[in-house]
Amino acid sequence: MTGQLRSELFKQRTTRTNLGLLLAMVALIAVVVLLHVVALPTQGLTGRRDQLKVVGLGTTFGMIFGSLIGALSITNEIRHGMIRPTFLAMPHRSRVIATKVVASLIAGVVLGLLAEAIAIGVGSAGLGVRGIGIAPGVGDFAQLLVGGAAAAALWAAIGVGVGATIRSQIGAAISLVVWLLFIEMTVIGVAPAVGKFLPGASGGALAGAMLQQTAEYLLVPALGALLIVAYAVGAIGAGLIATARRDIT
Amino acid sequence: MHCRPMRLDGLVPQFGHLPNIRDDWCQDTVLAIGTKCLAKSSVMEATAEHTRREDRGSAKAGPVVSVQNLTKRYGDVVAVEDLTFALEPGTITGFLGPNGAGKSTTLRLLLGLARPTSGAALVFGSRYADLDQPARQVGAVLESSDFNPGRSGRNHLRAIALAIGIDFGRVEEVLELVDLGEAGSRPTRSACDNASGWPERCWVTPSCYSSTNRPMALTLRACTGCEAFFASSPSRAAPFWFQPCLGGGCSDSRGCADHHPRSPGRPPCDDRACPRRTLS
Repeated sequence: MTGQLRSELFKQRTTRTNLGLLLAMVALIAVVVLLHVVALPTQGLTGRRDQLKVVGLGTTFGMIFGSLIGALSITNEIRHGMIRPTFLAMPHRSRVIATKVVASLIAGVVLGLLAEAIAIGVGSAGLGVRGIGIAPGVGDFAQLLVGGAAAAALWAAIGVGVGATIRSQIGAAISLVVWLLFIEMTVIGVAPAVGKFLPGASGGALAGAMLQQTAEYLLVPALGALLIVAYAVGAIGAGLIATARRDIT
Repeated sequence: MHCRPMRLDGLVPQFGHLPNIRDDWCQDTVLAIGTKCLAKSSVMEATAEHTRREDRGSAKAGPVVSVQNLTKRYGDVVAVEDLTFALEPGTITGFLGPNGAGKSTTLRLLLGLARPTSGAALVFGSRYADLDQPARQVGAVLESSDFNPGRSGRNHLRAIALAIGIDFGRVEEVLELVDLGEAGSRPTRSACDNASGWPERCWVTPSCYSSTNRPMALTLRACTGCEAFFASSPSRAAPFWFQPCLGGGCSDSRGCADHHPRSPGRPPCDDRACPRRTLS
């Protein structure tokens, strides 16, 4: 298992894909947070909730890019045929999936921490330049960092499950992004009582803030954690079943 | 060389001698499959060539590969039907047939990548998945491009080495062996271009791992064109690879030389190395 895990972590850092995703995430968060801080009127930025809604962008993008890293760890191998040497080295496929989940959890923590740090840093700097005081406290930021890292890590695990189930790289990536950015947002808008229980909002509950939503709407962190872990277990289970049953061509 | 006619309705290995293979080139058991040269020479029957190495000591008793009544169906399509054969230690077998004959499927079944509909495909008497550290016992390369084109050849091999517990020193040995020492640092998309037989070299290198520190190796290799055999020798410090030609596709030395002008360890590919016909 140790060798397998080292191999997975090695694979993660030896293509430009993941580095590209990391840089894209950092740039996207920086630009979008900055746009919000610059463009919103002062009265829309002074309150704690207002500021957390903007900084919470880091949580959503951390989950999106975490899920992509997780999904790509398997869909990329299927696409390029690397899955064959991987399964030849470790013929027990459930162990391969388990190793990819662990490696993706680790990568997700890094992405999540970075995403929140960039959002907090850029948001605070922008507010400082505009002369607006920073309303959230240390506890809020700590929850963003820790919860955001956990949310991105768990979404990376969900990504492995979704990738192993869908198998198509484009299909898995589009599904994950569309789900987090559009479907969940739509459900939250149309049926907020249901939306808060969805996997993205559950991840947001861990961090206390996500895109457009704060703790006032989101579930309490403990319930969010329980739900997102359940979602991750479900996705990984689906991936395990799909991987065990299918022949590798 | 002597061969028996093949059944058309299924893959039955056919045994004949390949006189070109020198004793020291191949101490392992090798199963290689190929299509194109046969197709070019209009031999449409599924055939296999088999060379017995009578004088070789064997560390393991029993067949290295045993396939019993193996059948694989995909829906209504029968990919492999009631195939039975065994490979003895120290033999080299060419497993040849036209496209769709079921060669690759048989290899996938042997390697646990696909599940048989019925029958058994065993390696060293076990299912591949039940072997202890299978990738160190069986060197298998199925496709010519089983790597991420954005990862360097060296890192590709290192990723596999980590997974199967082989140190990076061996990666360097293998890269040197196939003359990819420098190119190994480049992304495989550029290093494994179509010149100089590099795709084959990038492709075969992982299977070199199989021949370390054990008495008996099995090399399974899918191939197209003339690169019918990959062999490695555990008795040497470094394994050996070569590409004798089968069938009429490149039956003269020039054809082979043109095909792989920079292949290290390539055997003198004379007529003896390139039997024109695989059927008697």
